[in-house]
Amino acid sequence: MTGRLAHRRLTPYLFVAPALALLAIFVGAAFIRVVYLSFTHFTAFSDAPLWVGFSNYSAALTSNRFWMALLNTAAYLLVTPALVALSLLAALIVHTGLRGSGALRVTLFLPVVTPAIVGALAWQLLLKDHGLLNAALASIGAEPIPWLTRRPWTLISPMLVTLWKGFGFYMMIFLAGLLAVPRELEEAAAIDGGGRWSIFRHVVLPAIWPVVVLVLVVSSISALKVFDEIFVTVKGVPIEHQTLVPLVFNTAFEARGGDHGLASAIGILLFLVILAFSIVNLRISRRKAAGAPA
Amino acid sequence: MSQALRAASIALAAACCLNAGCGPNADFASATKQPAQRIEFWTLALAPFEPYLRERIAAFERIHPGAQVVWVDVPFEAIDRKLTAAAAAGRAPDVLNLSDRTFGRFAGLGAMADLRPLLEFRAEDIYLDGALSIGRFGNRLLAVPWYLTTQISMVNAELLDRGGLKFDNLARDWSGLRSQAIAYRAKTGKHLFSLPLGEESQLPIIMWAENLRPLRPSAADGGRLVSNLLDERVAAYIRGWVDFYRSGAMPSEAATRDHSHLTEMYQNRELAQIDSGPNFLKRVQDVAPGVYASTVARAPVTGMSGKSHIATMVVAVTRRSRQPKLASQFAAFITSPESQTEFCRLAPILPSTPASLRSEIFTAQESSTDKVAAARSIAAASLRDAVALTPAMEVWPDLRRAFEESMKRMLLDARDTDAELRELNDTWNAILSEGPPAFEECLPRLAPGIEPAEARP
Repeated sequence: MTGRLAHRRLTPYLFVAPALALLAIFVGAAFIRVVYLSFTHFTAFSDAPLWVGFSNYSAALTSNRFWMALLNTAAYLLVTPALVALSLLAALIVHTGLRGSGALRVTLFLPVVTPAIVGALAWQLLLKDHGLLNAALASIGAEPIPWLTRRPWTLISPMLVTLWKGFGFYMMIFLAGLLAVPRELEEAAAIDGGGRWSIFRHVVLPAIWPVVVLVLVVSSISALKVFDEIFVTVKGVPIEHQTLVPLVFNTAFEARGGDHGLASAIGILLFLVILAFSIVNLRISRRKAAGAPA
Repeated sequence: MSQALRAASIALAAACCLNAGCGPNADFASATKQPAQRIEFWTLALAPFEPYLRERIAAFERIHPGAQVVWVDVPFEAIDRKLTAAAAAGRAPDVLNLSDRTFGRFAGLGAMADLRPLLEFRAEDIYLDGALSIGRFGNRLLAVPWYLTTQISMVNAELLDRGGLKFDNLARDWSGLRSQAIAYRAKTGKHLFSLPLGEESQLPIIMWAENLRPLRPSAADGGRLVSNLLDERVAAYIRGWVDFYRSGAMPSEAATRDHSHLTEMYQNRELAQIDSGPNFLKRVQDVAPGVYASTVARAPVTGMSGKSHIATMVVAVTRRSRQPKLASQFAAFITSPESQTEFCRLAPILPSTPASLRSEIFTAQESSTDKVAAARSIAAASLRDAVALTPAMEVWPDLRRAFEESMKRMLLDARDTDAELRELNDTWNAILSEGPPAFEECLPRLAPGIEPAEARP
């Protein structure tokens, strides 16, 4: 009896063991190495990392570039509410089951399966000085916009790519949430005289709130870690126009000397920012869920 | 045994079987066949010349029994990142082909081995002196030159005509072009020319061709080089380009994109003139036949000195190579006059050895009616007015990077040019004082040209 119980307890761990081993090697070990490197001076051609204590952290925290990049990263979070609103709206439209909603669902999901680099390159063609968007603006007599070279457009352009690329994915998550809302609840509310907006606000939204929280947290973390969209769309703009992950990349591979130690320190600081942000985000969302009308 | 454990055991056994078939055993089998000496050779965007490189590698392996050369071709724009990542992981190649710009950066990081004690000949006896100077750092030789590319000027005569300009009246120096570009832009809405000013800025190179010296020896510091960016002429020159960009006569991409924006715009009929390698004409012929038809080639645009820049591809051996001797022998072999002459038959490039330059390839095409061949001939002829305008100093790539970042701020963020130049001057001096001392002899020498008189066709 005891042996069978032990086997039953062990079985789940055996199943997750391969995944845990992979995580330990490719995430855990890499993370520990980055933490170690963040306390060293190390370039690609150094013979060995040289222990420098907290000097990389103090260099990062006293650098104007770090704070500019952090500010830009915070600004990039503005894409999150737009992403949530658009994907929820798209999910609601698709959920109505109108004619053509199946095709619409596929169309809206297409950007998700398009590689980020391909998408960003296509957007670059749209946004360049002589691109389609500026041609459209010129046709209505408006001034062209320097989408790829001037502030704040150098941040807005990659945001557009993030929005285009991400909202199909989040739409599918919302759709799954909407499908799980019992029809009876909506019907009961309709019989009680609730309008569409009222039913959405008081019945559907509370029911899918955990999904909204999930999308908010996941899309915020993605926004904080944005790289592809910036690297491809506005590559070449001053580093002061970019966010934290491009700064990590620049420090490790492009800047003077290729400083892996400093890049690791900035990476760890970014990790702490994301961790703090996620904890706060989850707490606020849970508190709101607890107080939300059922 | 429970079902779960049984399933896990079966999975483990299956995994072991799979490993036995194609895992470590396979590696072991190939490892036992490995030759005693294996070196890895990285080239820069030379995949189109695979048959040539394979033949050369096979020839080298015949001369050195037991040696194996593993060739890896890396895209031009990815070399910095790939090499940095490979080196950080302890897997840097043994022999490397790099552009003069990238080479300077890695040489500055101490990545390259000194070839003097490794080579079995005196490099000065084999290579053109001007090309060899790129790899010379004091008494050390950190790379040998491979092939050279000079630029030529390609002009879209049809676009030029639209702006009221004639081919013969088009300025041949940068300041003349700038004057014509403003009127051209106003008349056509297109751009006469462009130049990378921010990303991969050409200004630090062009300044030397304009007889300006952004670096100068400091008498107070024993002749050590210091920044000369605040010199009245140098500052005025930089200010002139910033104002020119801000006037809108240059495409906005000039601040954020490298040379690739020129080629794209020229192919799309958005630029009337471009300076590029002669092989670019072949690409225009393939992708934009209409533009090719109205393209006329001429000698490259020069600075006030009448000189233009010659880009040098080098071959270096990494400091951590486990086979430095064999690696240096391969570097010498692939850059030998024989290998270079053969390479020049296949590609629109120029050799870095006087022996190859005497080949009939560079004399037979003078009268060719083929535009690409004629362009190559123009490029070869322009060698006599070409100089390697890259200072041979470890910190030069750092100086250029600081310059580029500063230029971007001036061009895009409307920063005050004088204030930005003062900051840049301080940054340059900090970089110069932290790096190894560099003196006058590291700077480009505008005369004589790169080509020895006796080697001219």
